[in-house]
Formats: sequence, C-alpha cells, structure tokens
Amino acid sequence: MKQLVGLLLFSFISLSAWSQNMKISGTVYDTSGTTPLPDAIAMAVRIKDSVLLDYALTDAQGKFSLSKVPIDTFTLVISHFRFDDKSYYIFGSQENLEINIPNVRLSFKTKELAEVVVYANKNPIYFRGDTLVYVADSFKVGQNAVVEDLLKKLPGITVDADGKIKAQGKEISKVFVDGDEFFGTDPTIATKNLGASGVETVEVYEKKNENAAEGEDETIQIMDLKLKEEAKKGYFGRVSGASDFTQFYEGELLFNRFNGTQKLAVFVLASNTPRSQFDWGDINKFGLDEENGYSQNEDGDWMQKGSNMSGNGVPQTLRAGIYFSDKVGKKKKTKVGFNYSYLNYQLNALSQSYSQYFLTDTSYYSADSTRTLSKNESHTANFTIFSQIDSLTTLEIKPSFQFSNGSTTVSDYSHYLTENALASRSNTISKGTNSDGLSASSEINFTRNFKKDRRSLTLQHKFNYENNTTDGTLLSENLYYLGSTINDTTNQLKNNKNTNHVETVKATYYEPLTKKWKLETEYMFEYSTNAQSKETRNILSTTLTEIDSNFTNSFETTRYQHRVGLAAIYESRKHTVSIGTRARTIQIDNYNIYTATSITQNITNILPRLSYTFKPSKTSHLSARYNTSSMQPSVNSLQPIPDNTNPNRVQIGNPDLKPTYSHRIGMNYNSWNAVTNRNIWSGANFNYTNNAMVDSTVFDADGRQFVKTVNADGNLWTNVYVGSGIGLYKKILEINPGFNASYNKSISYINSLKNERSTFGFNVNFGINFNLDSLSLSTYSSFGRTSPSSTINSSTNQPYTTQEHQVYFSWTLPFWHITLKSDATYTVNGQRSDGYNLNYFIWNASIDKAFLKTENFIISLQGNDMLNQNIIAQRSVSSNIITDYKTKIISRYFLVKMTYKFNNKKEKEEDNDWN
Amino acid sequence: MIGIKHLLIIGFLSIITIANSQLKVGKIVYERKTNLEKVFKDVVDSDFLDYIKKNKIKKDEFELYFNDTVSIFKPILSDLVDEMSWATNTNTTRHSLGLNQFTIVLNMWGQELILEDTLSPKVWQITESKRVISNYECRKAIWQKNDSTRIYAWYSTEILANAGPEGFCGLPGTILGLATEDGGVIYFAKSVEVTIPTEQDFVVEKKRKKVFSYQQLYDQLMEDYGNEKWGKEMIAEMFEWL
Repeated sequence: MKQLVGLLLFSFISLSAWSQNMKISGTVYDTSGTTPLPDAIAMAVRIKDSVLLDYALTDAQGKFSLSKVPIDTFTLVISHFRFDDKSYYIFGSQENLEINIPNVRLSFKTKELAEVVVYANKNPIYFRGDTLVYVADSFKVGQNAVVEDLLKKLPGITVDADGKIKAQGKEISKVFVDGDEFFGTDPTIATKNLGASGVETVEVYEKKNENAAEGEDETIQIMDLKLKEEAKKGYFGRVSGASDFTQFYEGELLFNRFNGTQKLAVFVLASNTPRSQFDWGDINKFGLDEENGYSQNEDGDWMQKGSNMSGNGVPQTLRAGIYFSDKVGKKKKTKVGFNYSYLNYQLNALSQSYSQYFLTDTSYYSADSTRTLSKNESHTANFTIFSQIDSLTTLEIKPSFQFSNGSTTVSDYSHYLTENALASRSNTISKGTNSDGLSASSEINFTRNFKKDRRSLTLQHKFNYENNTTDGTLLSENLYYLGSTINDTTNQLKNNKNTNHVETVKATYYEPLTKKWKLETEYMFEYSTNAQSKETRNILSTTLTEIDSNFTNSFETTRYQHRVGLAAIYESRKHTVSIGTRARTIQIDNYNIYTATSITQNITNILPRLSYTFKPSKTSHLSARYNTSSMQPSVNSLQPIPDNTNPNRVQIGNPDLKPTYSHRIGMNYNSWNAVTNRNIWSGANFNYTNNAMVDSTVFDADGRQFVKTVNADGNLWTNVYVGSGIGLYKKILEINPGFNASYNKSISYINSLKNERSTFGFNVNFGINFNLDSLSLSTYSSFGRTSPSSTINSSTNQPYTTQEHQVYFSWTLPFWHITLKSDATYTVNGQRSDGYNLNYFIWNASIDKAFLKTENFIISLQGNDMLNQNIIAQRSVSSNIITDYKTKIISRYFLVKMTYKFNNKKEKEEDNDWN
Repeated sequence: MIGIKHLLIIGFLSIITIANSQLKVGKIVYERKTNLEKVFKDVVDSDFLDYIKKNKIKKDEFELYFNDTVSIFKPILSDLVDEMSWATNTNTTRHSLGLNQFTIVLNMWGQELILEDTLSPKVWQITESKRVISNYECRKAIWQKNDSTRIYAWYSTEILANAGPEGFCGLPGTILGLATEDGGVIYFAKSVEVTIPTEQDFVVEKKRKKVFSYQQLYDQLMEDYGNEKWGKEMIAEMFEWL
C-alpha cells in the first residue's frame, strides 16, 4: 500500500482555472538521502478520477520535471522498483503554478500481511466445501422484490447505493447466474433485474481467476445465483393454414418448448401441394434434424432419403412427429435424445415418354404413357445417447427403427413403331404391389483421447437389419401387328422376400510420431448375410396357379470382409499430407437354394490413397487427392433369374460379376477475400473404373430389352467447375459468374456389340444479386449444351441445349407492414424431338400483410404458376436410346394463407430465413 | 547502418547498467488467452457451444521488441496445426515514439488491412492495485474506452519502454498485462529478455500496398459491413484495442 509521507498544502484558494499548466519539479534521492536516483518515476494522478495527468523519469542527477499537469488536485507519486512509493497531495491553483520538491527521499520496501477472513456458520446458511450457501426462501422479501432486495436481507452481505455488493467486507467481483455470467459483466444487471422469487440459493465462493485478469496469486469473490427450475422455461412456435377453398390446402404446426436443458419439439404438416417438406430455416430453428430429407452416407456425401418425393405428379402429404432431448446426470454430461416421425405420402403421377431406339441394322420408336398411384406410410424412431464419460472419453449410442408399408398401382400403355413408322406392337401392363418393411439399425461410437496430445482411439460397431416383403400382381398383354407372332398375355403373382443383416466393427488409432507427423492405423471387419427369395406363379384360372420356375429362385449370400489401413499424416499450419493404403480381403459365398449350387469369390484389393492440402491463409484452400475404391455387386445383380417387373425391360442377374475397381483424382481451390469482397471456387475431378458394372442389352424383334449386368473396363467421367462471387458498390450488388464442363465415357453392349458412348456437356451461368434493406432482387441465367456420341450408331449423336432464366424479388413496403415477393423461371429446351422442345414460364408471387404490434399474425395471398405452364420435360440419352419425358405436375393454384407465430416473451418471433 | 550502431550503443549501455537500473531495451513474449465462451456468448446453437466449452481458452503468442525510440508487437506464428485458429485474429503494431506514428496490420478473415496514423493518447486511471507478472511488480491502470468498455493494463516501472501489447502505451512503464474488464481477452508477459533488437526486428511485413488512416478504415468497414449486426460486432472486435 501507498505510504502517505508528505502532505503539502500549497494553497487553499481555488479559482476557476484557465487552461494553464502547472510545472512540478523535484530531485529524488535513495535511502541515504544524498545519492541522486536516476530513472525513478514521478507521476501526477488526479484525485477525483485517478486519471494519469503526466509522468516523467528522473535524470542522472535525480531531477524530474512535469509540465503537462493542468491546475487540479492531484497526487504526485514518486516510485522506483527498488523502493517504496512516496506520495504527495497537491492542491493546484493560479497562485501556485510552480511547485518544487527539492528533496524526495525513498525508503526500502516493506512487506504487507494478507488479511484473513473467517466466516460464520449458521442455518439456513451453510458451507458446502469452501462455498457459502444461503437458502433464498429462508429470507422473506416483498412480492415483486428483485435479487438485490434479497441480498440486503442476507447476513454478512451488504449492498451499497450503486448496487456494489460486499460479502464479509470483501467486494464481489462477479455475479453468476447458474454458473454463467448474466447478460454481460455488470453484476447489477442480474441483481437489479432478476426476480428474487426465482432464486433457489445464493452461493458465495472465492476462486482463482481462471483468466488471471486479477492475478495468479489473487483470488476473486464470486456470487452465484442458482435459479429455481421454473425460471428457465420458454416456448415458441408457429401455426398456419392455407387453402384455395376448392382443391388445395396446406397446414402446419411447429412448436418448441425448452425447459433448462430439456427441449421438446412437435410438428405437423399436411398438404396436397408440392410443399411436402419443411424448409431448412424451420428445420434448423426447431431442431428437426432428421426431417431434411437427406442423410449422410459413409463417405460423407448427402443422399436423398426415401423414394419418389421428387414432386413429379400430384402429391398428398401428412407428416407429424415429436423430438425430445435433454441433458442428464449430475454434471449434465449425458445428452439423450428421442424422435418419432410419421409420414404418409401419396403420389398420383401421369407421365409420357417418346423413345427412339437405334440398332446397328435398324431403328424403331416407342410411345409410352404411364399412370402411377403410390401410397407410402412409415413410422421412424431414432434414439441417441451421447455421454462425456470423462474429459477424454466419449460414448455415443444411436439405435434406430423404421416400419414402412406401401402400395403401388401402375397402368402403362406402350406403342412400338418400326423405322418406317408402321405399328409393330402394343403392350398394356397393369401391375400392383404391396410391400411391408422393417429395418433396425444401431451405431455405437467410443472415442478415447489420451494425455498425450493427438493420440486417440475410436471404436465403432454398426448393426443393420432389414426385412422386406413384397406381394404383387402383373398382367401384361401384347398385340402384334406385323408378321405372324401370336398375341400373348402374362398373368402372374409375385412374392419377394429379402432379409439383410450387416455387422461391422472398426477400430482406428492415431499415434503422434513427432510434433507434425502422426500414424493412422485402422482395422475393420464386416460380416453380412443376405437371403432373397423370389417366387412367381402363373395364374391359370381364378383358382389355379402354378410356379413359374423361370422367374423363381432363392439365393443366399454370406460375405466376410477384413480390411486394414495404414497412413502417415503430416500436419503443419499450411500443409497437410496424408499417404496411406488400405488392404482388404473379401470372401463371398453365393448359394443358390433351388439349384443347390454355390459360387465362391475371393477378392483381395490394395486400395492406396493420397491427399494434400495447402492453406496459404485462413481464407484460401487448395487440396488434391487420389484414392481408389471398389464396389461390390448387389444381390439383385447377382441373382441368376430374370426380373420381369417391367416386361418390356427384363433384368437378368449375373452370378459371375466381379467387384469394380476405381481410381479417382480430385482437386479443388477456394479463396475468399473479405476486403475486396470477392470469392472464387473451382475444382476438377477424374474418375476411371475397371470392371465397371455395365448393361449388356439384347433387343428382340418386338422391341423388348433383356438386360444383364456385366463387367467392362474403361468407364470414365471427368469434370471441371469454376464459380465466383464479386461484390460491387459496397456489397449492395453481387455478381456470380460460373462455368462447368464434363466429359463421360461409358461402355455398354448392344446385342453383344461393344458400344462406347461419350458425352460432352458444358454450362455457363451468371447471377446478379441486388440487396437493399427492404428490397432484394436477384437474377440467374444459365445456358447448357450436351453433345452425346455413340460408336455403335451415330443417330444418337444429337446435341441438345437447355436455357434457364430466373428472376426473384422481395420488397417490404415502408408502410402497412406489407411484403411483396415474386419469383419467375423461364426454361427453353432446344433441339429435341418434336413436341418436346418445350419452353415454359413459371411465375409464383405472394403478398403478405402483418398484423398486431408484434407483427406475428400474417395473412398472405400466394399465387403458384400463375401462367399455368408447369410441366417437367427431360431428355435422357443412353447408348442407343433417346428418350424425352414429360410429366404432368401441379400447375396454377392460388392460396390464402394465415400464419400466427408466438412465443412466451410476447415479442416479435423472427423467422430463420435461409433462402 | 547508423541506426544499428545507435541501437548497439543503447543496448550495450543498458546491459551494463541492468543490475542497478531498469530495462530500456529488449524483447517480451506475451501469451494471449481469449475466452471463446465470451466471444460467442450470443450463439444459441448448443452443440457449437459444447464444442466451444471444450476449447474454451484460445491461446496465441506475441512478441514485443522495444528500445527507446520504437517498439513493435507482432504475433509468433506456430507451424503446428491449431484447429481453433479460425477463432481469433492477430494484429501487428509498430509504434514510433518520437512521431507517435502507429503502423498497424489488422487481420480480417486472413486478409491484411494496413492502418497508418497518429493515435490520440489514452486517458489512464491509476489504481493502487498491484500484482506480479513474470517476476515484475506491476501496477494496475484503467482505460475507460467508452461507456461500456474498460481495459485494464498492468505496467511495471522496472521496464521503462513506453510500450505494450497491441500498441498500448502512455504509462510510466512497460505494460506486461492487458485485459478486457470481463477477462474475455487477456495478454500476459511470459518472459522478458534482455536483448538488443536489430533493425530487421522492427520491420513491418506488408503484403498489401493500400494504407488507410484510422477514420478511413473505420468508415470503409462501416459502409461495407455496418448494416449487419454481425458486421458491427466484427468491426467492434477489430477496433477493440485501438
């Protein structure tokens, strides 16, 4: 502490000061009083606010001089690290502008003793370890009392006029609420605003300041207000309904309630419009992680979940579900979660296609129209347990179940024409299937880190079980117009059963070798069994059926895989290199129960991989990688019986299929410059496959196809892409040019002749975004051209083009709480078959008006496809077939929509807008 | 070359007189600890917060070279991988004492922004609170930046350079500790070395040519990013120590 040695009163008169400075000087000596002390510090600190006014060092003669001190009352502190400080109070005035202290003598340092505080121990005040606990309800406070009122009642705690709190005479540095700071660092925000009735206990303890802001050898006193559970509750949600009062409807309910660490979300969505899913903003806001329609596969790619939700047709959707999660355990280190989702999806689709078939010696045409009615229903339940066992160990368990059933009715009519446009055959198919499925899976992940940095062990077990049964009928009738072929009919009952069971265990261990090198070792074992039986019976009469042995089979596959991997990884701030390889052996036993024959395959693969990443700065990134992979044939493509589900395209299995082997090289570069507001992304990929599984198709004289999967070398695909964003005019305008191009080559066999089909395509696109506070406008245009070429027949070598132009705008009016939105897309298809060169213009618009002070009630009018032009038109080109599709989908409709958003705070509920 | 000679002489004198006198030339290594929980206090994503909790304290190292005319404060970049490197930015500050001229290389998402200006001196409040940092006794001073922000500095009279982390100066001694009031960001000296900095140590490496004044840069950033809440926060963070 400062020792106040001298008190010099130079004047008692203080006149209003001009901005005139004082001159303070003096000479400093050491304890002897005779040796001048150089490099001692003289500083002037104003009394009223402790502001440092001026300071100076003493020179070799011990002299100092301060000239920037305004007239004021201040302390002059003379200090030197080897001596105690000496302070003088100085009352400056006009009369005493110059002060000289001729002989400042510093004395040796003295040590201070730390004060010891002893606490009292009384009920309802008690100690828990070193923590002093007050039970809040034991102290009576008024009805609307805040925490500060409570604190004033607590023995040993004082609160001064500014709200500063002292416990046992020592100041409280921080007030926590449930162990966390409450809205910033000012302790009075918590104590003056929180209701006293919500407080369970008040805890006071000393602790070392973790952040050392107050010192390593210093402790600070903390007050922690533990809230009663009911004080941590809240909810928010949205309910909306829309209708056109004749045909279409949309309705949804989203509700989220949180209570401490507990979260509960409930959702319902019902519609018969193409809006069959929640958008990303809602999924994120309400925590409906499994409802995004996508799931991640083993390689980390996002895959679309479920089937036929593409909107090609007229859908009807009902989804509902519940999500729950909580943290349990003493320290809330275990997170448990549960969700259940119900989905009922129906689709009524009508599509037409027109195909041209090119064979070496001839060509023919087919026109096809299909109506599909499908109904799917599923119940899905997922559980998760994630536990932080200790600071180095985590355990995660994720079981999952799904029950599903579905039915599909298809009626199809195809008409075949010869090269000369003569009708050759017509085919009518009507079929129905009913399917039931059960799947169960679980994943257990155990991760252990070690005291040694970067050493880690991961153990994983995966289990997957699926059981599907499908019952179906098939009625196909052929009428022949040329030659002498007799008309025929196929009338069958089909029963398929498929059971699949996979168990995988995997261990991965990382060992640091040096500060930058580490070694990755991996072992995986996979065991799987698959049993598939297909039974087909021909219906001979209404009561009599017989097994059709051509289409009946039962097949069992057992597979064992052992895989080891080793990789050396180098990591530094700018460079990461990984070099490694995997080696595996696979044993596959295929047993055909009908013929009692078995086929065994033994496969050994070496799968090297290599990757390099360069990060020259935080915002640019270059990476290159090479890897190899091998894909095994599915049971369906192995099973050696024909599948006539589509009698015009019969699939035949091939038990001799070998796994594929692919090489892949990929490169990408991304960079973002925030200062100039420019970014660029680009990349290139090259993929080459040996033993690729390709189709060998035989066409019969009546246009039917018989397809068998065979192995072929030389399939490749490659692409390059580059895109950029350039911000202009202070980010109000952004332009986005982009380009991509691809080249693919695939092998196939047409009537046993090898065909190489290559496709070159490119797409150029350009986007503009214009953003002001209340107005945003964006446009996007793209032009693409695809040129296919085929060795077997040049007739499919017809290039075609697609253009797309989009405009979007949204404008919030400065009055009446009205928002206008519009988006329009114009699509131009060129160089296709007659009737399929469709140009269409789809225009959607809406007008929203918000009501209430909170703007939480919204009425909107939405118009979808106002010009009534919606259609899906696509061209697909395979080895020797060009097909143009048209699908009828929902076109023009108008909806009146009412939305009410709510929360427990009765405030405006903000949407999470991700568009 | 005169500069080096000059420095050598100063350094030499300093070393000779070190036993009895205070340090006027040398190098100080600082460790900065950033409490990421406080940086990301507005984030509501609980998984992200759990991740932040696990990596709560982000450490960065800096070095300060000083003599009686110039000081430079710059990051020591580790060559090792740091998975939290995205969470904080590091700036370089050179302060020429005689001209009161600052050259600051600010980092915005990996891009450099160069600021050259004279900065007005800070008003310091001196307190009685003392503590020891890296074996030097320090006294606490407070800078009331604005109504809501206070910065604490601990300075030692044993090191006489008018210097400190992030160009902080104006105290009767070198700043060995610097902290925001809530302890969200703190700089503490880890080691003090008696060494004579070379001219090379005081060179600011600039990758860009464009130089802003304080006001120019502030206006430019407010124009570019000031419309958005996150933008304002980012600018506040960048100018936190200026």
